Parts: sequence; structure tokens; C-alpha cells
Amino acid sequence: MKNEDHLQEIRRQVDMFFDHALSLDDERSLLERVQQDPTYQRVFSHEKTMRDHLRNHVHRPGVSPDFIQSIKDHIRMG
Amino acid sequence: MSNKDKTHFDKVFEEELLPHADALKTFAYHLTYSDEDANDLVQDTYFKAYRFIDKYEEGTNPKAWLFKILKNGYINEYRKKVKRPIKVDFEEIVAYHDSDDDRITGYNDLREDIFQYMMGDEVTIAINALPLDFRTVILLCDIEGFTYEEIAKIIDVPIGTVRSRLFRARNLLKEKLKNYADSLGYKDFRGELRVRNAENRAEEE
Repeated sequence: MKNEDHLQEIRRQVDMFFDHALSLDDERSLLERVQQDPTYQRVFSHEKTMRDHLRNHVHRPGVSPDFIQSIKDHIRMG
Repeated sequence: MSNKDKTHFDKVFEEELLPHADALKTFAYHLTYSDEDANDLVQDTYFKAYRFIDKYEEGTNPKAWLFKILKNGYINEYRKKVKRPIKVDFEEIVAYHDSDDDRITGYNDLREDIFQYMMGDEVTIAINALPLDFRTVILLCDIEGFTYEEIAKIIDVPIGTVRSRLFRARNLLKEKLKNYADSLGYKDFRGELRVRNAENRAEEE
């Protein structure tokens, strides 16, 4: 496998790991490789940082208790 | 609806559906770009969910069910109501034409330490700048944690399309974040460093 193809395959597996799309066996095998192989480690760490940053920094406006109450009131009246 | 049914459905509504209001609001906000419109969309979603609550299978996946209602409401009603022209750009066209294409080429590399230069707002700006289809899969997968299968059901496309759309969306998002870091003066010196190291080694030899 060419270097670029190999790297792409690692990235595909890492993506699937974070998307919870791997089987338990495949997850375990990937984590073992991450421990042993610096390329796997780099791609894994890179993707984790990216995902954590997205999840932690995306704007989440949320709803107010009044908003929830108004929905409940509407339902009860209906 | 009998009184007994209503009491039961009210309980299901409050216990299984209402707890997802914050997640729905986040999704709606990133679709509409407006706090007020997002509230309207979430409210409409809940009213519809209650109207069709007998179709909901208790204990299944209330969050995915609500997200599907919201997404359909946004596409079918909200965009017509606000008369917002549908913005079609290059990436969106590519996404449609290649929607089932699993042959993945190219992969954007975003250096990890780039995040030290970012404060947080740029994530929201970058996500909101993505074409609708790409924004949707990023929000559903990376922010809300839905599986490929759940996303496929929510947006009515095959799983292969979800995967390829996610791949393209992430690439585009990384590109936008990288552009943002560049605009702050951050430069990726990896290429230059490789050349410099090679030159140093050559001099030493």
C-alpha cells in the first residue's frame, strides 16, 4: 500500500472509531495500534483534539425554563 | 384522545421528549442563524411531536425522532416562510453529485497546535459557513453524537451518503478553521522546517 493510501486508511479507521462505527474487536485493535505505532498515535490524537475542540466550543444557546413551561401550557390547553 | 390517553401521552412527552429541548435548540440555531427563529422551530417541532405522539414508539429513540421532525420542518416550512433563497454553492453541488461516492481522495490536515490560537467563536462561525447538507451532518454526528444509521434516517439518505458527506464536511471545516488561523497570523511552517532540516543535514555532512 502506498504511503498516502496507508495514511488515508488510518484516518478512515480513526474517523470510524470516533463515530462509534467500529465493532468492539476493531476498536480494541485500533487502540492497540495507537499505543504501538506513532503514525496511528498522531492521527488519533489529532482527530481527538479536533473533535473535542468542536464539541467544547460550538455555540449551544439552550432554552429557558419559561420556554419549556410555555410548551407544556400549550399542550395542556390543547 | 381520551383523558386516560392524554395523561399517558403528556407523561411520555414530558419525560421522553422535552429533555431534548436544548439539543434541538442548538441544531435549530445552526440551521437558522437566529435565536428567535430557532425558538420558533423548536416550539413547532414540539407541537408537531405532540400532535403525532401516538406514532412515537415509546422507549425507542426520541431524540432522533425529534431531530427528524425539526429537520423536515426546517426544509419544508421554515425556509418557505422566511422566503430565504436556497444558497447553492460549489461544495453543495459536489456533495450531491458525489453523494454515494466512497472513493475518498485527499484529506485535509489541520495541525493540532492550531487550536491554541483559537478562542472558540471561530468553531461556530466555521460550522455556520458550511453548506446546509454538510453543516447538518457535522451537527448530527460530531456535536450530537448520532450514529451513521440514525443520521441516515433523520436526513433520509443512504448510510454511504452520510459517510461521504461527513468526510467532505470535515475536510471543508478544517479548511475554514485553518484559514481562520492563517488570518490570525498563524503559519504552518512544517514544509519550511522539513526543507531547513534537510539543508542543515546536508551542511553537516
